[in-house]
Amino acid sequence: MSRFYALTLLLLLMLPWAASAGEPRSGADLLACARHNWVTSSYHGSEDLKVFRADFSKEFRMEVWSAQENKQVMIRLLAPAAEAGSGYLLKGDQLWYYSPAAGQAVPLPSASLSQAFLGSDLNLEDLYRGTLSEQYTVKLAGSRKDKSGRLIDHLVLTPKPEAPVVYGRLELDLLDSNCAVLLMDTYDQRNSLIRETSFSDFVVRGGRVIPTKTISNDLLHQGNYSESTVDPSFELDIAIPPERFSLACLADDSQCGSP
Amino acid sequence: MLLARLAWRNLRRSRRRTALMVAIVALGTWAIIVLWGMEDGFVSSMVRAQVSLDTGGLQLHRVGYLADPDLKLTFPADQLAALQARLKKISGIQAFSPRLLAEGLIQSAYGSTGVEIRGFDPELESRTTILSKSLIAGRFLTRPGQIVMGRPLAQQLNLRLGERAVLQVQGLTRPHSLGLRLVGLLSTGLPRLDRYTVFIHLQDARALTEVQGASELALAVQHPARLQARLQALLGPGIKVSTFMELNPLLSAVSKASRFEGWPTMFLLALLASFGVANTITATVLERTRELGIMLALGLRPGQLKRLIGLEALFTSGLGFLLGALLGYGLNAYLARVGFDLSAYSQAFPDLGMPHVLYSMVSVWHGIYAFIAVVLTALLAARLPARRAAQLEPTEAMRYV
Amino acid sequence: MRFSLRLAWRNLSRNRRRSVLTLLAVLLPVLILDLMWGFSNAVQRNLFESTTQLETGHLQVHRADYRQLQTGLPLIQNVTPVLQIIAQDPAIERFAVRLDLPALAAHGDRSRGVLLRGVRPGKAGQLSALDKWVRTGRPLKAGDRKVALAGSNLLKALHLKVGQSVILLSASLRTGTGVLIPKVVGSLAPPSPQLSRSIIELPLADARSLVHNPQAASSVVVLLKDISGPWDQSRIEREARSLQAKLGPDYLVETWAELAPATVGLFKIIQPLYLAFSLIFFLLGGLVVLNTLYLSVLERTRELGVVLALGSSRRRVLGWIEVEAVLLAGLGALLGSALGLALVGWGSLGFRLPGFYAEFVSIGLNNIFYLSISPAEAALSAGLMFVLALTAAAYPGWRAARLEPVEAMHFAG
Repeated sequence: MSRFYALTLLLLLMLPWAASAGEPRSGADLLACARHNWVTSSYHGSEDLKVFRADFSKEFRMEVWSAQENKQVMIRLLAPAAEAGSGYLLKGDQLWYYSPAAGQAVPLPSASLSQAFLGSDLNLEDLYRGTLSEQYTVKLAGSRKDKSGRLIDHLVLTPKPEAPVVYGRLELDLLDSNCAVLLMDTYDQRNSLIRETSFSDFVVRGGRVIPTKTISNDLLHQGNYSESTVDPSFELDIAIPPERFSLACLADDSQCGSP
Repeated sequence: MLLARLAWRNLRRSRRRTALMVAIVALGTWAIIVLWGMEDGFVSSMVRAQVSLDTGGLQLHRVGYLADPDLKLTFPADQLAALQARLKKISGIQAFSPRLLAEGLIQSAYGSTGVEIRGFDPELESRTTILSKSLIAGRFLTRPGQIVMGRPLAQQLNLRLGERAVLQVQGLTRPHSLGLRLVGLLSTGLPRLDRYTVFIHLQDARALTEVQGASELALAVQHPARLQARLQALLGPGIKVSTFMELNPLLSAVSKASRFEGWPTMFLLALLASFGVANTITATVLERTRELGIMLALGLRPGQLKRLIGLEALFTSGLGFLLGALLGYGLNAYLARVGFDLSAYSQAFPDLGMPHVLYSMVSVWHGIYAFIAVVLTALLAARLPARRAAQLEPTEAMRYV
Repeated sequence: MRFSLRLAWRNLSRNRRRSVLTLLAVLLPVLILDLMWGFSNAVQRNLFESTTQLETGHLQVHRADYRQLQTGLPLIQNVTPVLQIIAQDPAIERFAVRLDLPALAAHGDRSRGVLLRGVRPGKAGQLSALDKWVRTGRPLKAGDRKVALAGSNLLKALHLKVGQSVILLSASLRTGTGVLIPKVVGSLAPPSPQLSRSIIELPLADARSLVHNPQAASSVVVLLKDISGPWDQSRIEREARSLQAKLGPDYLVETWAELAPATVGLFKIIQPLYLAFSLIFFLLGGLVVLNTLYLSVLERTRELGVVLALGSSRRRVLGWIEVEAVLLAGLGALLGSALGLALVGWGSLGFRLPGFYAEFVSIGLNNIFYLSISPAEAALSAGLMFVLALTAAAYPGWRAARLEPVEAMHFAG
C-alpha cells in the first residue's frame, strides 16, 4: 500500500542520525546514542520512494513536514500523477487521508495504518517509535574494522519476554565514531534472516550524520525490495506553523499558514 | 374376556404369522423412532456445538452493541460488576463468563491478518463453554501473556507453538499492541472460531482496548428460551438478553428448515409402515377365511368375530410397538450418548462448519409419532377385513380356497 | 412352462383380492422409495444450487496466490485471456466476472473497513448479485453507475441512510488510490451479521474504476453444463483440473466445495441421514414385500396340497408358484416404478412447498424444489424389491413342494 510505504519510510528518514558526542561502551549505550540523535524538533524535505515487486515497480515523490518529535506529520504526494495532491495527516495516533477526488479528509482507522505498515518490506515502525530499548535487550556482540578502516560495532537485540515484537532478534551494524546505523538484519523466531535493510549516502547536517538512501530487501518474497532517496536539500529544526498540521491544510494548501 | 383369550390363543397357534405381524409393526415403530431421533439429533448436535463451544445459551449485551459492536457500547466496569452480582442470585444460571471482544490485527514474522479477539477469564469461560475441550495441541490459557487460536489460523500465519505473535487493536483512545506467546491450538470444527478468532486473557484484552468492563456476558443455562423473558424483565430495557438462536440467525434458520425438511420423508416412512401393517393384516385375514368360517359355524356371532380380529390386531400391533419402541429408544439412547464419529470423514474436508461427532436425540414425541403412524393405522386397517369377515357366510367361507 | 404360466395367470385372476394385495405390496415400497429418493435429491439439489447458482458457481478462477498473506491485492489484472479460454470451453454453460475489493467506507466523521463486491447487474450478474438480500431500496440494475447497496449493520455503524452518499477509498501498491462517492440505493440483510457489517455491492465498472483498471477482476465464477447436484462432484473436479491445465500456474481453479465449506458441512449431515433413511426404507419395504408374499403363498399351501394329491410333480408345483410370484412381483415392481417415475417426473418441473418453508428462503435457499431420481436409483428400488419378493415366495413354495399332500392340506402356517 503506497501511502503506508511512504509514510513508514518517511517516518524513519525524517529522524536524522547524528554523530555521537562521547565514546559509547556498552550496546545499550550505543543504541541510546543512536536513538538520542534521531530526535529532532522538526523536519521539512522531499523524497523519492521506489518499490519493486517481482513483476512491476512503482515510484512515488512526496513532500513531508514533521514537528514535535514526529508526533505531527503531514505528507503531500507529488507523483505519480494519479496520486498528486492527495495527502496524509498524522496527529498523535490519529490519521487522516485526503484525496482531491473525495474532496474531504477521511479518518483512517489506525488498524489500516498498522496493517499497511506490516504489509511493507519497510517495516521500521520499531525504529520510528524509538522503543527499541524498551522492547529489546541490547548486547554489543563485537566490533570490527571495515575495508576503509572504520570501526563498526555489531549489536544484537533480543526481544524482552512480553514485547510486542514478532521477530527473533535484530542485528545492527553501526559506525562506532558517530552511531550511524549502516545495516539492520531482521531474524524470525526460527533463526532465519528474513529482512535486510541498509542505509547509505550519508549527509552531515548540523552535526548529524543522515542517510539519504535506504534499501530494504524482503527475503521472504523473492524480488520484493524498496529504495528510498531523500533530497539533500532537507531542513531540520525549523519553525513550522501549527496550521500545517490541520485538516484545513490537508484539504487546501492555501490554509497551511506562512512557511 | 373370552374373546381376548381366544384372540391370544389364535395368535399363539400360528406363531409364524404372528411373528410377521409383530415384526412389521416393530420395524415400522423402530424406523420412525430412530430416523426421527437422528433427524432431530443431528440438527441439535449442530446447535449444541455452537452453544457449548461458542455462544452459551444466553448472552447479555448493552442495547445497540449487536448492531454496531463498538468498544464504546460495552459494559463499563461498574455496570459489569453489578450485573455479575445480580446474575449470581438468579436461579437457572449455571455459569457465566464476561468476554471482551474487539476486532484487531494479528501479526507473525511472516504476515498478518484481521481477527476477532475474544478475551475472557479462562476459568469462568471453562465453566460456561467447552472451548477448552477442543484443544488439540499445547495447553489452554492460564494467565495473561498467552494466546490460543485455531490450527488453521496458526497455519495461515505460519506460527508455531511457543512462538510470539503481536496483536494490534484500536483502543478507545489510541492503538495498542501486545506480544503474546502461542500456547495452544484448537480445533472446534466451527470455521469462525478456527479461522478468524483468537483467544486471550481478559486482562490482556482490557489492556488492548482500554475497556475495563466487557462486551458481553455468555451464560450457561438449562432452558435458554424459558429464562430469556424472565431475565429480560429483571434486567430492564438497557440490557439485551439474546438466545443463541437469535445470535446466530443462520443456525436457527438451518435448524428450523431441516426440521421441516424432515416431514415429507417422515410422511413417506409412516405411509410405508402403515401400508405394511395394513397389508399384512389384510393378508392374514384373507388367509384365514376358512378358519373364520369355521368359527362362525361353531356359533361365534359376527360382531364377536369382528372384535376378535380387532383384538388380534391390537395385540400384535401393541406387542410390535413395544418391541420397536424398546429397540428404537435403545438405539437412540446409545447414539445420543456415543454419537456418530465423523472425524474420519472430516479429515477429507478439514474445514467443515460442523461438529466432528453427531448425536441422536431421545424425545417422547418420536414414540407418539410412531404410535400414530403404525399402531393406529394397524387398528384402522384391521377394521376392513374384520367387517368383511363378519359378513361371511359360514358355508361359503369354509369352501373358500 | 407354458402350462405353468397359464395356470398361474388363471390363479391370479381368480383370486383377485389376494393378487391385488400382493401386487400392492411390491408396488408401494417401490413407489415410496422412488419418491423418497426424489425428495432427498430435491433437497440436496436445492441446497447445492442455492450455493452454486448465487454464490460460488461450480468453479471459480482466481489468481494463484490469492489465498496467501501479504500479496497485496490479488487481482487478475487482465481478465480477457481468462475469459477467452473459458468461452471456448464446451463444458461451460455461463460465467460471470466479479471484483471483490477491501476498501474503506466513510461518512461524516466515521469510517469502517469494508468488502466491496463489484458485479455486473442483469442476467450475467445472476451468478453474483446479492439481490436476494436486498431489504430496503432496490437491487442494482443494468447500466447503473455510482450507486451502491450496503449491509444494514454497516449503514447503522456509519450513521448512513439509503439515499445518502458514501465515500469509498481503495488503495493498493499496484493500483494506487481510488476514490468513489456512490449513492446508496438500498440496504442488504445477509444472514451473517459479520457480512452485514462489512458488505457493499456496486456495479463492476465502478469497482474497476477504483483500481484504475477496466480489465481487472478478482474472480471468474463459472457454471458448468448439465450439473444438477453434489452427486456430480467428480465431474466438477475433472473440469476444474482440465480448466486449471488450460489456464496455467498463474491462476487457481477452485470448486464450490472449497469455497463453501458450510454447505459441504450441511451435506455432511444430510447425506448420512439420507443413507440411513434409504436403508430403513429398504428394510421396511422389504419386510412388507416379504410378509405379504409369504402370507399369500402360505395361504396357497393348502390348495397346493390338493394339486399334489391330484398327482402333479413337485417340480411343476414349485415352478408354478415361482412363475406366479414372478408375475406378481414383476408387475408390481414395474407399475411401482412407472408410477414413481411419473410422480418424480411431474415433481421435476418444480413445486413450491407450503408457507412455513419461508425458513429456507431466509438462509438463501430456493422455495422451489425439483424432484429427480437417477436411473441407478430407480433400477435399485425396483430390482431389489422384485428379488425380495421372489425370495419371500420361494420359502413357502419350497416347503409346500416338500409336504405330503395330506399334511399340506392341513397346513396352518
